[in-house]
Amino acid sequence: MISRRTKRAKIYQSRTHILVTLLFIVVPFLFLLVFSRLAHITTGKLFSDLFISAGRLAAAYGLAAIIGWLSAVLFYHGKRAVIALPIFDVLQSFPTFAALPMAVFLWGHSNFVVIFFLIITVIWPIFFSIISSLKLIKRDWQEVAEIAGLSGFNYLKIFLLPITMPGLITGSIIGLGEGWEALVATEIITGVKSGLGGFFETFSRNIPITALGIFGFLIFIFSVNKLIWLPLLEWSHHKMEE
Amino acid sequence: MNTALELKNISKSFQEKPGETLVALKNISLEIRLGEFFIFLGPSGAGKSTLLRVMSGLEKSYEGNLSLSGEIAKSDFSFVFQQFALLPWLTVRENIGLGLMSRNLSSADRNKRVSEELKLFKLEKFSQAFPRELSGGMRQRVGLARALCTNPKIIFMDEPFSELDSFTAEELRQDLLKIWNERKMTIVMVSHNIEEALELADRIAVLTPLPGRIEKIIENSLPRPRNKRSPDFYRLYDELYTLIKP
Repeated sequence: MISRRTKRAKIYQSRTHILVTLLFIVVPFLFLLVFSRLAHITTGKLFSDLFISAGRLAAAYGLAAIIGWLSAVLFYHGKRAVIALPIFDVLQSFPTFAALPMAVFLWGHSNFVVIFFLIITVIWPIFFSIISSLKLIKRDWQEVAEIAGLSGFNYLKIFLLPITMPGLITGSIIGLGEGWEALVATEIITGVKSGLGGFFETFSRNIPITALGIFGFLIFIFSVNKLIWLPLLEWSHHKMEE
Repeated sequence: MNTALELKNISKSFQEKPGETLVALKNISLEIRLGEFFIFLGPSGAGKSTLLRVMSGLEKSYEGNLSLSGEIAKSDFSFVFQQFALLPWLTVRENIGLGLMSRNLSSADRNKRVSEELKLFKLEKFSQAFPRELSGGMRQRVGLARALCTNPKIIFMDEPFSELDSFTAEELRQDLLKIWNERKMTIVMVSHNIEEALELADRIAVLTPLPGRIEKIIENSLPRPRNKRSPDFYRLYDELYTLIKP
């Protein structure tokens, strides 16, 4: 008989959760308002820097997720895996910042350079987490899909996407964590004048503002994780419970 | 009776370590008749499941020849797994309808077919439940419903009742016999339970291990429904037991 022993993902299902959610949106917003006053910069400039940086990271993340997912699905098993996985393992250890000055020399102070370097930072945790999800596919599940004759879009939608979802979300959390860090550094090194990198460079000699800026940055990342990624992680693992 | 499936000299080996080969099946030849209930019986390690996987096309590398009757295609196969193999991210309804996704059916027809199986297996109340919310018996009901939903001509079953308690297993065996009588499909099943084999099968092939080979094929012509306390049942039980015991 049916047993309701399994724990449901309860986030957003109660008044407390809605209040906590609002708090996570309101606190970073208020912090930025106060912070802009303290730093004597216009609130608009601060928000535009934040959104430009977040936009660059979002673009890089979107591309990294697509490329990482496709590569993982193509290379997770068989002879292709034997050849490709050691190569990817070496590539992920490549010190990307070493090549950054050369990229600036070749392509200039551009969004392209920032996004490209963000992609090669974010993609590896996504790729390897999805590989790990795919390696855990049970033979029975694969055979069920085969017997059912699933192929093409149905195989992708009904089988591959749900199976890779926990890996994609775990990899995204790690990848974006590294991405935020790389974002600021890349923006400073490439010398693009907009974004959080530009902001921190401008206030590099003002320790209190830099410290407060880093603190605000952390609140923002924490809120995004709490509001988006952690509920998604819980949901994806709950879906895979047997 | 027409042949559904014919095996000629099927052998299968596994490379355990470099230089070490395990012969799982050796020169298996037999015919499965259309509409019969056929059971492979044997101890663990006799290659029963491997043989079933070869026959169902899940195991692609083997020696020998396997041929199908002209009226049966691979898409007419279905499979019931020992450990249910339900996809945990799909609901009961979605799991049952899985095999219909690749068929050229309207969604109304698909829903109708799934609803019929839900009703047949008394799963209507649980159609939106996930496998993790079901007991073992209910999960195997879903597994059977999924296998039957595509109206297969041959169903392969790998010890489908071995993970269940004896009461649930008996109930499901009776349900299966009823459905088999109504739909007249061919069933090829693997079991290590002599009583189960005698209760269900028309013919029983006894496999012996290392390498797996057919020791004997026994015609089980006991009248249905079978009386497990009849002298003939006991006689066949003893005969099978003598063949299987180490």
